Amino acid sequence: MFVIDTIAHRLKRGCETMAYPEGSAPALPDRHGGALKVDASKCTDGCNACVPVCPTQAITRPDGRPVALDLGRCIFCAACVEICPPKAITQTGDHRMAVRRREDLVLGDSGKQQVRLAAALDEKLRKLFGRSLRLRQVSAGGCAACEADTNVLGTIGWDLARFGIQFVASPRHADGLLITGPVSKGMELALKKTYDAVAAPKIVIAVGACAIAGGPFIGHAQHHDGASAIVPVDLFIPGCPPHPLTILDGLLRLLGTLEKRQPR
Amino acid sequence: MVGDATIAHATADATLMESLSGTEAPLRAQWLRAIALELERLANHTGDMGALAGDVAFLPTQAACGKLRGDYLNLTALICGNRFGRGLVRPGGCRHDLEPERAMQMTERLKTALADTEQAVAWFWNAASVRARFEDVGVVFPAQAAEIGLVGLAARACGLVRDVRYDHPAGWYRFAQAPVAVWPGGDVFARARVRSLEIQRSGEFLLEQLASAADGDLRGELPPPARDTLAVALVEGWRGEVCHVALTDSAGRFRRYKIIDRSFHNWTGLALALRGTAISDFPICNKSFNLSYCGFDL
Repeated sequence: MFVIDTIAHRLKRGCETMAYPEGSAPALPDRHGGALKVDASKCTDGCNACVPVCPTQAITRPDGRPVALDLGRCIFCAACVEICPPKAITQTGDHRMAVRRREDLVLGDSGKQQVRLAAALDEKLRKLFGRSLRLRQVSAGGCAACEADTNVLGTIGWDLARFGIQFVASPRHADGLLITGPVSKGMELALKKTYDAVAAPKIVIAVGACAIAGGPFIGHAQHHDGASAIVPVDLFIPGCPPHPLTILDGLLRLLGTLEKRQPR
Repeated sequence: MVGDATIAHATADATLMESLSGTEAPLRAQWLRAIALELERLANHTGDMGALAGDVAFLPTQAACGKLRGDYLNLTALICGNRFGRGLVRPGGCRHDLEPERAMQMTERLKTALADTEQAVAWFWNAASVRARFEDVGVVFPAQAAEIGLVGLAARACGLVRDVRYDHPAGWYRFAQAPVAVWPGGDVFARARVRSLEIQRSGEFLLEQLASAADGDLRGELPPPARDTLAVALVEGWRGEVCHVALTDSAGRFRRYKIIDRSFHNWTGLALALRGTAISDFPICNKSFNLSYCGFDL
C-alpha cells in the first residue's frame, strides 16, 4: 500500500515551487547584506581603511583617485562595510548583481555607485535561447559551493526547467557553458575543449568570485584568475557563492524573461 | 570540493590557529561552531538521501529532500547570512552570534524541517523496491575498511565505531555528544542507513544544544603563533574526519600547512565496493560515498 500512501503524502504537500518571478522574490537572509554600494564622494581624504581589510584585494585607492571596489572579486565578507568610517561602502540587501561586462562590477565613481545590471541578449540570440537554453556546467577548480547553489535551482522550490533552462551532460547538447572555479591549470584544457565542443552561437556564464576573477586564489601560479582568461564570458554573477536567487536573476535577465514575467 | 564542508574546514583551521597561539576560543563560539557543523551535516546528509533516491528513480524522496537540504542551508544563513557558513568561524571565535530570539526561530524552523525529513526518508525506507536495490550492493567488508583506514560515515557503515566527535572530542564535543551512528553490512544500504540515523541524532543534538546555549564572549584574543611548533586539528565533517596540520618556523610563520580531507582515505573504499558489481550499480555506489575529487588532492 505504500505506493498509495506515498502519493497521498506528496499530494498533501501540494505545489512547493515559489511564485517568483510573477510573485515576489523570496527574502534573502537578513545577514546576507546583498549587493554592495560604494559612494566614493563620501570618502575622506587620505583614508584607505577598507583597502587592507579586503581578503581578495578587491578594493583599491590609488593616490588622487576615488576608491574602487570590484564586486567581481568580492567574497561578501563585509569587512569593508564594518570598517568604513564615513559609511561610503554600504549593503543594499539587493539580490540582483549579474552584469554583462566585467567593468560593470567596479563600483565607486559617480554614476557607478552600484552594479550596472545585465541587459538581455540581442534579439537573434534571444529568439534562439529565450525559450530553451541548455547549459553545460564546468567546475574548473571550484569548491562545490557555487556548484551546489546552481544545482539547487533544479529542485522543486526553484524549478529552473519552467523557464526552459536545463543542465545537460554533454557540451554537444548544450547552448552554452556555466563555469565555476578559478580555472586551475589542470582544468584549462578541459575547459577549452568543452567550449570548442559547444556549437555556435554559444554563451558563457561565469558564476562566483573565483570564475569571475580568481576569488581567494587571485594571483596564484596554478590558477588563471577566472574564466575570462580562457573563454569569452557573456554574463558575470558575483558571490561566494551567489545566492540561488542571484543566479536565477542573472539567467532570467540574460534571456529577457524578467521583462515578460513581471510581478502581478 | 570542500565548499560543502566549509564549517568543518574553517573549524579545523581556527582550532589549529588557536592551538598554535596557546589559547582556546570562548565557549560560546565553540557552541556555535558545533551548531553550524551539525547543520552542515544535516544539509548534506539530507541532500544525499535525496540523491540516492533519485538514482533508484524514487522521486518523491528526491523531490522532498532536494528542497529540505535548502531549508537546512538557510538555517546556516540565519546565523551568518551565507548558506555555507562562510565567514562565520574565525580564528579566536565566531563572527556572528546566534542571539536567543534567533535561536528560538532556528529551533522552530529546525523542528519543521526535521519532521519533514523524517517523513520523506520514511517513504524511502518503506519502499521494498528501494531496499532491494540497496541491499548487498557495493559491499566493503569490515576487515577491508579497517585495513585501508576508511573514515567517517563509510567506516561507520562497515560497523567500525570511528567518529572524531567521539574518539578525539574537541571544542564543544567535549561537553556534549550525540551517540555514534553505526550500522553493519558495509553495503549501499548501510551507508544510507547511517546517514538516516545521523540525521535523527544530529537533529536531536541540535535541539538540545539550542536550548542550552553557552554564555559569554564570541571572540577572544589571538596571540601570535608559537615558534617551531606542530599542531594538529581533527574535526568530524559530514563525510568523515577533516585533518589540518601546521608546522611553524623560528619566526612563528607557517613552514608547512597540510590538509587531509576524508575523501583522501575513502576513494579506495569506493574502488573496493565496486569490485564484482554491475556497471549499473556504479551510480548508487558512488552516491553512497559521495566523495570529492579535489578533496583527494589536498
